[in-house]
Amino acid sequence: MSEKAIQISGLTKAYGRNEAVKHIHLDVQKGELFGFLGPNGAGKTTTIKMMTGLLEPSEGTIELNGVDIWKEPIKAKQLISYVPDQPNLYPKLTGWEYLEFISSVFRMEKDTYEKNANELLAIFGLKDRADELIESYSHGMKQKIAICGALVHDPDILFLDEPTVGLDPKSARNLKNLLRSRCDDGMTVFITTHILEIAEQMCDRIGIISHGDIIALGTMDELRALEGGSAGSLEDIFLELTGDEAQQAVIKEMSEQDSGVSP
Amino acid sequence: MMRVLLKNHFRMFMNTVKTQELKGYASYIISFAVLGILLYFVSGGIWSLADLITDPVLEGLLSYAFMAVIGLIVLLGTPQVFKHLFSMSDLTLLFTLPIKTRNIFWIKYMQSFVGIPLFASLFILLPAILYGIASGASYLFYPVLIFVLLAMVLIGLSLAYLFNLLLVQIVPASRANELMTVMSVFSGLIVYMVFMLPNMTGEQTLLEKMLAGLPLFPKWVPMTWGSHAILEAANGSMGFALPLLLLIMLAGIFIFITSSIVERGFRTGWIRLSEGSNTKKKKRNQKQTTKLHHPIQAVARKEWLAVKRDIREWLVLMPILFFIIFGTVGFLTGGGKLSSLQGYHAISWPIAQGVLLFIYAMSNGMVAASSIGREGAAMWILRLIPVSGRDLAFGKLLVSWLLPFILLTTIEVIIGVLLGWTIPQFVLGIVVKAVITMGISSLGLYLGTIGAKYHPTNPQQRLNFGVSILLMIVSYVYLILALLPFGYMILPVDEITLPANLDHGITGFKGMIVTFVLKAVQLKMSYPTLMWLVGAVVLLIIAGGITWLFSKLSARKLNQGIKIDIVNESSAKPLFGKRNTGGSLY
Repeated sequence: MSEKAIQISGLTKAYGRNEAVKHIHLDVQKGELFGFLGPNGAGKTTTIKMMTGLLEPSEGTIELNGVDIWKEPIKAKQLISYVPDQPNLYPKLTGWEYLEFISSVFRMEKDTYEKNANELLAIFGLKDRADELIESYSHGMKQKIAICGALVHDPDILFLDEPTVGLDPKSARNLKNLLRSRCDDGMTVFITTHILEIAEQMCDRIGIISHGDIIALGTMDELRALEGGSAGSLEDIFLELTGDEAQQAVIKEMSEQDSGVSP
Repeated sequence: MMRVLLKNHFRMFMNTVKTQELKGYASYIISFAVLGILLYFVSGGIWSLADLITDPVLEGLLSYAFMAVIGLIVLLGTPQVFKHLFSMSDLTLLFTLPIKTRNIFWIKYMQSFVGIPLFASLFILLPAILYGIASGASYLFYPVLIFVLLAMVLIGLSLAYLFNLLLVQIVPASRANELMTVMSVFSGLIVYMVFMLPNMTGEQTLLEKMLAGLPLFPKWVPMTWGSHAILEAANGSMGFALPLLLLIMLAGIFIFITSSIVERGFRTGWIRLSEGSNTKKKKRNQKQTTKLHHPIQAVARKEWLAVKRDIREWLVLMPILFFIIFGTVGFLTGGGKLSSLQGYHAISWPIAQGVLLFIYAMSNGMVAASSIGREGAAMWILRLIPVSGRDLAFGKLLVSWLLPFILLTTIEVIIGVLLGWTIPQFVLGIVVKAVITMGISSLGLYLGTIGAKYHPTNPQQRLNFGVSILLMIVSYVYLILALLPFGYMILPVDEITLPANLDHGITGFKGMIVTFVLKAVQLKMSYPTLMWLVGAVVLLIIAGGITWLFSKLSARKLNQGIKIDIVNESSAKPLFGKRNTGGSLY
């Protein structure tokens, strides 16, 4: 776990004077499942897009397994996969054809592709629907086929932006288990989510971004220690760190009420 | 309920107007200015010619104008009506609210008035009123004119609605969007044929008939009733009453039929379309069909499947179809016979090459440019996968070049066989066109990378307006450039005699050009084979150079990341917060 899979230094994205992401530094180790949290508009998606080569940073560098994605994009993209929050796929391809397309561009061996694709389609319950055009899929199914496409070529680093949105509970659990097992096998996962329980249960480390700054970074225990060693949930810590004064007063009030009614 | 709905629409309209960007206001002003200028000229012409227009001529003019109104509404209004009835985003909300389907339908019907029917009516109403004033028509003329025009618009609009409401019952839900586009094309062809009807009924042309005051249409058609009613009213006669009444009754019948199938056609149609179809399964024999490709092939295959599976994609090639249909119809109706063309392959072949290259210049660039915009919201995939811009460009170029090439070469072979071309003519024509058209496709691809646009419901809108104009210009400029060496290669030197003295007496740059041309011809006459080869090499340099250069530029743009303007339903800025028109990808 000492090898760095993701190395971000001084990463900034500015739109005019407004800085959406402010000089962030972050390292993610190989095999780590890293959770990236933050309120809406905090800069999560902007950061993930810069890391995947979809948005050019104003400043800073991003190295993926030692390869700078903005200097050697093709080499870096060989290593990664990304599933956006709203996966817009090719509507006129079937699920199988989409996976074939992705596997072709990653120059996979036919046998490996078939084995991986069948396994993933089975995990996400898509086998019966993989012959249909993607345009006929529901949002959840599109999400699942996008995840299958992202995993079919065994990437070194997987970026997931709100992957559980639209997934049914069974698929969400399957994804959770799959990610854990892939990370144990050495894949690195960088995930953003709003479902804090998932982050709390799954992630090795968590980073919290607010207004473009990383305001907390560490394991759950480290984050608790940061908040005065309380035994609070990630939700409490998150709200404590990201809420403004008014919000924090409300949270405090609710906590007191909760303790008042609890036996 | 209607009041509430109308008020809501009025509010939305006002908010749209208020929140337009400067560009939006400018486009309104330009549109109104163009409309105003056109109306000014039409009205000016009517004003000065009012005294010369006799009653029979006026009747013919009005009949034809009414047919144009109905034709335009059916032609352009049908897709608009489809959008209003079945694909507006507010329908989901409206159908969940306690509002009668009939009310929603009538709101949509009223909405349809704004647009083509309004503009078409204005173009008849204003000049007609001016005519009335200039010719001193009776006061009856004006109200009758308005009623007749309104009836015509209602008939046209009802036809467009009927067309949609009936079609939605028979078209498979999964194909509705595509078939609407194809139907627009066919309704265009039908309207074209209808417009041509007056030409086919006699020896004289439409204009001759109109000027001679001969009837353009039979008496029983509503256009004749309308024009007759107006004419009678202009003369102060009460003879307008019967034809006007008949016309109003007919409009009423159309509205009645339309409204009687609202419940069945509108709501159930919308539900069918919203449900879509989940039955599009492909039979798959996994062992046989699983095949991984080289990235260029994978990109090309993806492009091909997208084109193959959406009929709308083929509309880029519509000009080819129009050329063939209208060309053949024109040739045959003009008394031409195939036998008269056979045996003259020395003439028919070069003419066919010119025509085919002209069609290529028209379609190839657009097909290639469209392949970039086609990515639409899925562009992120191409930016993410480890494929170089060069491979992406070649994959896209391959399909966008090959598709029209196969289609037109098939047509060329058929024509060639019919006209008795020789084998060398076939081979030379096909090879040279393959080389030249690659250049056109690469130009199109590059322009696609700099002006890509994506309209989710209209695959024809794949290129920004300015860039599409530029594409048209550069395609033809390139074609002319590439045609020079080709023309030189096929120059029939046996048929040419040059004067012994080549002194032409022209000086300056023009003189230099003339000398160059004469020398080139002289050389071709002296060394035909060698000069043929020189022509071929120059052609290869021009076409190959352009293909190489613009493929490379396209690849570079693809590496840098393409911006595709995603067209939203509304291009207005939000009432509050940041301005954000349309959308670009990353």
